[in-house]
Amino acid sequence: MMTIQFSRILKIFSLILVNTAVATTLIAGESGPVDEDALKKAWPSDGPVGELFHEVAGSLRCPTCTGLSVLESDARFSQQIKQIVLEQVEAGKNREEILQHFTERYGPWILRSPPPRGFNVLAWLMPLTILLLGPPAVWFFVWRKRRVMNTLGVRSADDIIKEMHGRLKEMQT
Amino acid sequence: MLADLGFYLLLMCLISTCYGVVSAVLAAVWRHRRLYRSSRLALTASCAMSVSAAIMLWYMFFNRDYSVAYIFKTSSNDLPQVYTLTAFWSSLEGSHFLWTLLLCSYGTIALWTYSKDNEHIMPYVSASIQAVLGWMFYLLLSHSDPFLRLFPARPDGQGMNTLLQNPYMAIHPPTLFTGYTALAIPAAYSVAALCYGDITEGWLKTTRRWTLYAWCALTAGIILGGHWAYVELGWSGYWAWDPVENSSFIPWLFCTALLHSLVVQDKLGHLKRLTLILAFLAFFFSFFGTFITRSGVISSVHSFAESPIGPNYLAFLAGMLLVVAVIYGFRAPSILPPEADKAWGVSKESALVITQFLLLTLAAIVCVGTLYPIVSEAITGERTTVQAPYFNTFAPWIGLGLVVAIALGNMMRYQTSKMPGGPKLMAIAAAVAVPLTAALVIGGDVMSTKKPFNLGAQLVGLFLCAWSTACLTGDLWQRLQDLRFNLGLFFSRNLAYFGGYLAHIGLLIAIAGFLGNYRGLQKIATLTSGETIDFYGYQLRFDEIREVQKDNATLYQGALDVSRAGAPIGAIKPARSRYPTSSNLNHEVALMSTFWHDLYVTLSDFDRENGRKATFELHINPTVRFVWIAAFVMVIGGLIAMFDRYRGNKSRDAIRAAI
Repeated sequence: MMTIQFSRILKIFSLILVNTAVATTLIAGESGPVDEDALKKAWPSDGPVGELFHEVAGSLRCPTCTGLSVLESDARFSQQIKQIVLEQVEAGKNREEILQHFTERYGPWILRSPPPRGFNVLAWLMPLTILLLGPPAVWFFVWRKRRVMNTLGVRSADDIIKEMHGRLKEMQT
Repeated sequence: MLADLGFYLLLMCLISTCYGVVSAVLAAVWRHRRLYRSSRLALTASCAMSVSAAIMLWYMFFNRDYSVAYIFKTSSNDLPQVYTLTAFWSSLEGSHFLWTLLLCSYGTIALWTYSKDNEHIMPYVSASIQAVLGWMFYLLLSHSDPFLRLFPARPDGQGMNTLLQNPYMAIHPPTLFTGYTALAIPAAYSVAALCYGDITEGWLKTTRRWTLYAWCALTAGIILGGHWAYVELGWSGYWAWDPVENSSFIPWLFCTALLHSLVVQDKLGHLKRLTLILAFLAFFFSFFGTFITRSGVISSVHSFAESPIGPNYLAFLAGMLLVVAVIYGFRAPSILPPEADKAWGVSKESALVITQFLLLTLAAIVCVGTLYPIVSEAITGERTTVQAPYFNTFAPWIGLGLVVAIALGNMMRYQTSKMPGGPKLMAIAAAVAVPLTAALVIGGDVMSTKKPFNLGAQLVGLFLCAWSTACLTGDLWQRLQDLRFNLGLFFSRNLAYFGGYLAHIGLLIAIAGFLGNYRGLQKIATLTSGETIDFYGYQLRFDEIREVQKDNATLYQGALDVSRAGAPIGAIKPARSRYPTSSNLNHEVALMSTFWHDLYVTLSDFDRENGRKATFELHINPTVRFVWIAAFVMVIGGLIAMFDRYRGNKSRDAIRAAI
């Protein structure tokens, strides 16, 4: 019985390791085993090539880490992707073409933000909807209620007195 | 032996909290004071027992008792003493245990430090806290038992996760969990107010204090987590909009919104129901965050079903939501609006509502972004990723909205559209903001940002931050002037205002820090021994790779002599470290900080043969220190505000009503 439970525990642990849920803010930037033969390549950072490379690599996710782009990660997989990106940038492809190349290979999962097509449109529209419809909603639910009721659910005395004065005036004229 | 005892103690805790819930509910229904006291004693006993169990676990950790599965998993013989202490919460079982332990302790403190004015609702508070605790104990016993035995006992453990062997990771989880669990108290008070059907005299005062405490802990916890990521993971950032980070940020946003809602309720009596909802949701989302990070649901919907904890969490969360929704549905009508006629207009209370709207919108966006991959996979079957670019599309706009709202809201007054000295103050603030922005731009070297759009956003944002800071300070000055600079009077009566001032200034500093970070300069360089590299005004000379033993880790240090403008200013040693229990090489980041920027160097690779060649990743990270300073200022502000004796005191309302 102990062993059964233990295997379950192990399973949970492997899940934890995958999900990096060890403590509440754990971003497991995979450090990865270091490449033995070649020293790490110096990626370009200046000039048109460097800028495009940065932009493209910055919008592809590191497949083995959580939350990082391939640009920020030095996991082996990310290194390979960066190599391909660099080759394509040097071959004169533009941003969309390179991203298209990776989407075809890995699916939209490789992009760091979902492309606004199909169902994904919802993810992009939701915040805009809240921002646009929120203020009218606040107005409707909060500010519109200018007429305040008192504890008994009756309009306040001031209001009633005002109304009575109005009626009196009407009667006098 | 000790492990079995620990297990039985937890079992006793479960029984005791179950009794506590039943007795508290009966005490509330029968209005039976002594029964309520018995339920309070039950919680106190659970607290004592779980603390004892925790001490036992620690004792076994220090004795390297590998007959306990959890200790085998998370520690090893070579682990230094301090990390043996923190290995306690380095994995699922232990962090659950810590969660429960803290909730137990804060619940007990809350029940014993109650205010006489809240006497009537205390049974409900006790029942709510113990209901949550009972479930936590059940989970601890059934699915994440830290005392599970391992047979046969092993001679050495598998070792603590090497990434967690860092001082920040030692204090980050307890701080954050303190925030999460302290949020349970306002939530319990709101459920209690709903059950009782009225907001009692001392309700606001108590809730406000606990919310502020939770807020301080959450702020500190989140930033400590960011600091850990910054110095440990080696990618030169502290915030990645990672699901785990987001799930700590959402409760923070709710907690902040709750604080603003409490202010409106205190001053005008409006927004009572919103306060109740926010207090519950803040706690709900801290639980929800734990759920999405612990259940495996984030990585994929499919891994969710494999873990027995996931469905359990889901059932509990759904149950909690359902119960509270039903209570709210039935009881909310008895929470009455204020007696006095206080209309909404263009005034401070409206600014506070707008602030809440912005905070909750950001919370919704973060929540949508975090959950979208799961929803998308479940509905369309297509796996998607939502990372920083998505959040960065929206968050800066809301941040700037908050900056403006902070300035205007603080200058406004309640119940009037008049802003005393407003236009003059804003004009002076704008004049002061110009040199302040200039200082930020020059000091932070903002002009070297390459993209024109980013540069524009930075300039506008920094100006607004400076302007807002000046507005706040001007308002503080005005208030001091009204008191004829009687500081004694000011500090004895206005601690809440002063604390709020500091917290807002802190947030503005933080936003200025985030803005400065738009521009990150980096370079990757491979150096041979004796070679010097120029990097934005710094000259770094590489010596060689040295192997150094430090505690249980072997460090491969790449020593770099740093000089600036020809003058040597010290040496830094970025390193890779190898721990005996892991084959991975971890980053040991080298930092050289000035007020304006950090020189951040990691060793990404090196020649294993003779150590005379190495590749470094060099970063200049501007205004990172602003963020750490900001967190400090915010927490201090929150703590000062906690000690205000007048905020939330009903007696003052009574005086006002008499006038």
